[in-house]
Amino acid sequence: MTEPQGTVQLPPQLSTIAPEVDDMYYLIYWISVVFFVVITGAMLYFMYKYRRRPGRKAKAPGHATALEIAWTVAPLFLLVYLFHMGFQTYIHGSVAPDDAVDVRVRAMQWNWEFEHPGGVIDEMNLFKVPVNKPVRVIMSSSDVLHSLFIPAFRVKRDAVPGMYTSLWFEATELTDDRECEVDADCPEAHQCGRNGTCALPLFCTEYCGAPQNIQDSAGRNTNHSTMMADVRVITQEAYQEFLELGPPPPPECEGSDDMMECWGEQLYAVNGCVGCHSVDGSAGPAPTWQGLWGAQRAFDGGGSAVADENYIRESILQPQANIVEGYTAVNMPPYRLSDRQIDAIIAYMQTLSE
Amino acid sequence: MTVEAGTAVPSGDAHEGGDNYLTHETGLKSWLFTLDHKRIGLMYLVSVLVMFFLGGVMALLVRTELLFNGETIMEADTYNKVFTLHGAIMVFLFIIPSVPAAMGNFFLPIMLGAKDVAFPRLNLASFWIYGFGTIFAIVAIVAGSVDTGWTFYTPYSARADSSVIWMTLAAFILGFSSILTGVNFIATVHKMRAPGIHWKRLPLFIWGIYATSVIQVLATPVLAITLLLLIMEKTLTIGIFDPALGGDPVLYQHFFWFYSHPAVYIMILPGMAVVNELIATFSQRKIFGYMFVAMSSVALALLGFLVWGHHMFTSGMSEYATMVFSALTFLVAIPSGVKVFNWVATLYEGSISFASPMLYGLSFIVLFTIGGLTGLFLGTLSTDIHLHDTYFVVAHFHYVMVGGTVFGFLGGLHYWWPKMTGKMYDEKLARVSWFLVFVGFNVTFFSQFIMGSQGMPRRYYDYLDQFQPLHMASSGGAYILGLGFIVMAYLFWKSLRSGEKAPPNPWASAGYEWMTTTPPHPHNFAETPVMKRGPYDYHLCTEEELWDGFPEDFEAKKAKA
Amino acid sequence: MASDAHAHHGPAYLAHHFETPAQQFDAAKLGMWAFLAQEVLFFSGLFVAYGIFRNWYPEAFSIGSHLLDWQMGGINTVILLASSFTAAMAVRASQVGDRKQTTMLLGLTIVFAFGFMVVKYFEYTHKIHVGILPGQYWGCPSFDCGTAAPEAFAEEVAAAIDAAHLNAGPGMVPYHLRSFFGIYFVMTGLHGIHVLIGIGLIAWIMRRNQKGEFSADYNTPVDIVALYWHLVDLIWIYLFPLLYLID
Ligand code: HEA
Ligand code: HEA
Ligand code: HEC
Ligand code: CUA
Ligand SMILES: [Cu+2]
Repeated sequence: MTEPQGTVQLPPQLSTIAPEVDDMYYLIYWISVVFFVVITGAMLYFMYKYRRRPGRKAKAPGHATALEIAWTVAPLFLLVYLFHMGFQTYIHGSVAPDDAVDVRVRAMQWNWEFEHPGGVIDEMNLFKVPVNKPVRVIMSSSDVLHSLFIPAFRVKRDAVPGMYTSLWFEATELTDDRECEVDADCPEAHQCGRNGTCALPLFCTEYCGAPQNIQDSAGRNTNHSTMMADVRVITQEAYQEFLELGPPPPPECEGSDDMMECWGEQLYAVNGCVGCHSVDGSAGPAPTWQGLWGAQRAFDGGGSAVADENYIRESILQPQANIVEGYTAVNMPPYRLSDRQIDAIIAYMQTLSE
Repeated sequence: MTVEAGTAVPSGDAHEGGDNYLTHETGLKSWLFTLDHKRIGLMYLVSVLVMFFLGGVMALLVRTELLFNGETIMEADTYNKVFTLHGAIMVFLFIIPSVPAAMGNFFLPIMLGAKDVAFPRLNLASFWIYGFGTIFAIVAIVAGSVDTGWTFYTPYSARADSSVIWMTLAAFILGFSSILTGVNFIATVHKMRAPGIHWKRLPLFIWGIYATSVIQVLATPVLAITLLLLIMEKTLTIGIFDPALGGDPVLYQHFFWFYSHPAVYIMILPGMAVVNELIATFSQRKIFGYMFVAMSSVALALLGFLVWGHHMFTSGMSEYATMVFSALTFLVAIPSGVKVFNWVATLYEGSISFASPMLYGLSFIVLFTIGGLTGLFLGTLSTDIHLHDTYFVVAHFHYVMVGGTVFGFLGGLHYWWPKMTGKMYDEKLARVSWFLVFVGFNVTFFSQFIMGSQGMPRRYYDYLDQFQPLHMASSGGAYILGLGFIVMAYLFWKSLRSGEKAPPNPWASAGYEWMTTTPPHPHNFAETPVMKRGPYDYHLCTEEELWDGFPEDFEAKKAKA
Repeated sequence: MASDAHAHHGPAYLAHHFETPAQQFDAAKLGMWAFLAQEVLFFSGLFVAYGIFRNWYPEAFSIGSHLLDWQMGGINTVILLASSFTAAMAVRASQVGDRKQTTMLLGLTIVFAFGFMVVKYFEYTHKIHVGILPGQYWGCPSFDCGTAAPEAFAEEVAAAIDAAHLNAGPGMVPYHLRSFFGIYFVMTGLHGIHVLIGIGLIAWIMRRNQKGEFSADYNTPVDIVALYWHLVDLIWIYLFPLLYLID
């Protein structure tokens, strides 16, 4: 299997629609090149031939109505043709096949959440896609406009609050998930994604702002330009397995003795809990996790509970159900984590209360 | 009594201490409260240059931040404010008033042989409203600044910081300045033409400005009402654009682009208008297909109203609407093409001089063609899906706005500088700065086409490592560009301080504006001229009319012969 | 040289940059028409928003229109029509050089315009008082969302729902009434501002007329201000049925 190559202008074609879009791109490109060469060529030639020099006198132009009409009408035919071609590709790209897998995508300020069939919600900002199978993405946004863009698939669509939008694609190649440290370690059009493995980048292309100092797992301030996700094209079997089990622990934790704790710590980082919760007891917009497990929690507006399994689970899935006293200023967004993931977070919390 | 232009040339005594609009009255007040369109034009010129400088500084900050990945000189939220201000200043405070309000004000009445625009007081009011709007913009910058992008998309803008209100108010007010200028020019072109200037003799500069005025009057109010609704949304939460209150954010985009697409023709038509004058003068030839070129301006103005949806192909608009907008978008290529072809045809059999204004004129043709042709990639549905909101779009619009309009503006500035100031400038330096600007521009923005088609999104503070080399090239180009402008600022400053006196018609042009004295008489022409020929009828001009030195030298030469 | 550039061949009202009074008049008229075109587009944005929202949320609009008092709107329509008539008569009077009558008719126009604003004032204060307000202030009497809406609010809304013949209980108040009133207040508010500006302009023209600036030869300002006033009237003619009389 040869690795698909991009060109100087376009990234590799990794979806079924990409070659069609690229053909269209190159058609316009070559038409443009011809026009550009003819126009600039004529211009440079005239500039040389009719440059001002002693004795050179300009001639008064005559009428050339035929010529005028020719260069008004000729481009028209060309443009009708271009439109026709572009429209066909577009229509093809906008109607999803019936057997497509539906993935719901929720965009929120600076994160992507992917919900696969059966309600399986993966880690934030990780998009697993089965190879050679059409995928329809149904998008919504919980705050402002965002836009989902996967360059290698040539797809893009805005996520608009208050409305559903959709797009579809069919990936044609597995992603090369080799290990990496920087983007340059990865094959063309890949980025060095989470856990130090390569993946295809998914960008947010509709401007969505920057907050004051909320940081992502890499310690960078999150904003429109960091609202990226990893697209990982996996085999159809692996995708089936994923749908049945929910997201698996990351490779660096798998098999180790304290797998759950390790996984929980990793979830703490990649899901952005780190942005609000500290684990060392320091103050922040949200209660620290140090010593949280098993403690007595007092709620805003009265009531209290012990921080046990059920309480933690509820705090993650429905944070607004009980608000901890003194923490009304910031709202924690609900996170839809799988049972195994919540177990992992609880295991990690327990290590913080020993 | 009237003077028949075409037989007579400017009286020679005017340039020697004769009365001109600069010396006619003195003192700050005589400028701030002047009703003279030339002075108002000059004040606009100074204002837009200051704004260009401000916007340019912001651009250099943007490019410097993007030099390296991660934080280079500022944080992400500062970056967002800087590019927003760059876009907003360049669009609302610089490019829209640049050619029409500055050069249009100065030359439109002169080219019509009129004493002034139809409503001089309204003209002054437009300028003051512009100043007033600028104050609001400054308040917005100082009061925490705006980070919405120049498009103010809802719901982000409806929720963002309240200084957005100041910025939108600024744009609202500036809009009215632009509308009133348009109203004024329309009445002037229709009613103030000197005897002999019928529609077929109208300079193409005026055709262009006229078409622009029509768009200004018909499109700008829609922006005004849109921004007003946005302000209402922010203050009263009326529930029209904010989905949380039952509004529709896509409706905002329709409204915004209904103005802002025609607005791109408000930007380009005046640039094209200047280029007509440059090409004709420096090839000493009538513009080929005059009537087609004139009508293509009008066609662009009208077609420009029908294509706004091409900015929204990915927004969730219906398939049917996207199809219609794409089809209509292709139509605008036709009149643009007509212009390009006719300019090139004008060069044919001309006598072409490469004086600095012409260098800008010729560059315009090349750069606008690139910018326009890349517009077709964006107008095509399937390719736009890939290219939308990437650096490809950024490169496209800088090619048309900078390579097009700004080059046209600079060409006009070099071309009319002697007439406006009465001083010549250092031609050699002018060519050096042209070269730097031309090279710097292409390096800056050509690299962005490649980044964009490779998938680099716009309005990004950070990027993947693979884009690093191209971003560096782009920033390097921007520094060359900046250097070019510094040379240019120096050469104009030098010209003002110690430039040679300019003769009435240094470029040997047949254009009407060169028939008056330099700098022009307070009433443009001492007496109302009667035009006997068109502004490009080089073949009908006498040697005396096309004399590019001082009139008395011509007398001397004739006497010797 | 023409040293008499400032001296005029024409009458005193002829500005220096015009050649003839006819040119001056034509320019002013054309300029005003261009300005009116601008005004039409300014309001057209609102009409488009209206059309779209009405298309999406017909119930909200039909209930909303029943929350407006069509009688008050009707009275205002008559008042504005009358004022347009007196404005037109004023132009006529000034064209024949009847200064006294011009003043009188312009004065009458102003009186009508004030009448319009008074009626509007009552409409607005009532709505604000009850809490029939746009967006987040829906159901907030006097913009105060802290206190519960008075009974009058619930009653009025229920009555409007009844009148609109929508068989929904009071619990089923369409959410988008908020948007309807957003549009209502912006449209009528902007129109009201135009009326106020019109009052100022007419008063100014009236004063100049009293000072004797206008005559049968020169009455351009009266003419173009009246043009503006007709447009203000025309916009109301559209607003009234679209807001008050739908359904
Ligand atoms: C001066 C300003 C200017 C001008 C003149 C243009 C001209 C054109 N623009 Fe551009 N455009 C902008 C300024 C301008 N634009 C800006 C500011 C944006 C981005 C705004 C934002 O999002 O911030 C934008 C964005 C933009 C988009 C949206 C992209 C996106 O966001 O996805 C599109 C899509 O259709 C587009 C298309 C065009 C087209 C088809 C033309 C045509 O008018 C070009 C016509 C010219 C030619 C085609 C070249 C000459 C013709 C020939 C040589 C004839 C022969 C040619 C053929 C027959 C092929 N432009
Ligand atoms: C007329 C319009 C205009 C002009 C002229 C420019 C000019 C430039 N622009 Fe920009 N640009 C926009 C309109 C314009 N731009 C808009 C609308 C946007 C979109 C904003 C948004 O997304 O909301 C944008 C966005 C934009 C971006 C994308 C930011 C992002 O998406 O993250 C970039 C990045 O490179 C950029 C760069 C530049 C550069 C390098 C120049 C250079 O050409 C600037 C060169 C000028 C100077 C360097 C000035 C130097 C002057 C002197 C030194 C002295 C001269 C003084 C006198 C003569 C008095 N611009
Ligand atoms: C935007 C900030 C923010 C983020 C991000 C966030 N939280 Fe919270 N969290 C809060 C706030 C504020 C509270 C306290 C108020 C409440 O109880 O809802 C809280 C409370 C909690 C509690 C209850 C703690 C207690 O003191 O009783 C748990 C458990 C919790 N969060 C888990 C998580 C997990 C797991 C994640 C990541 C997957 C996460 N949070 C991400 C803001 C955040
Ligand atoms: Cu989300 Cu940009
Ligand atoms: Cu456009």
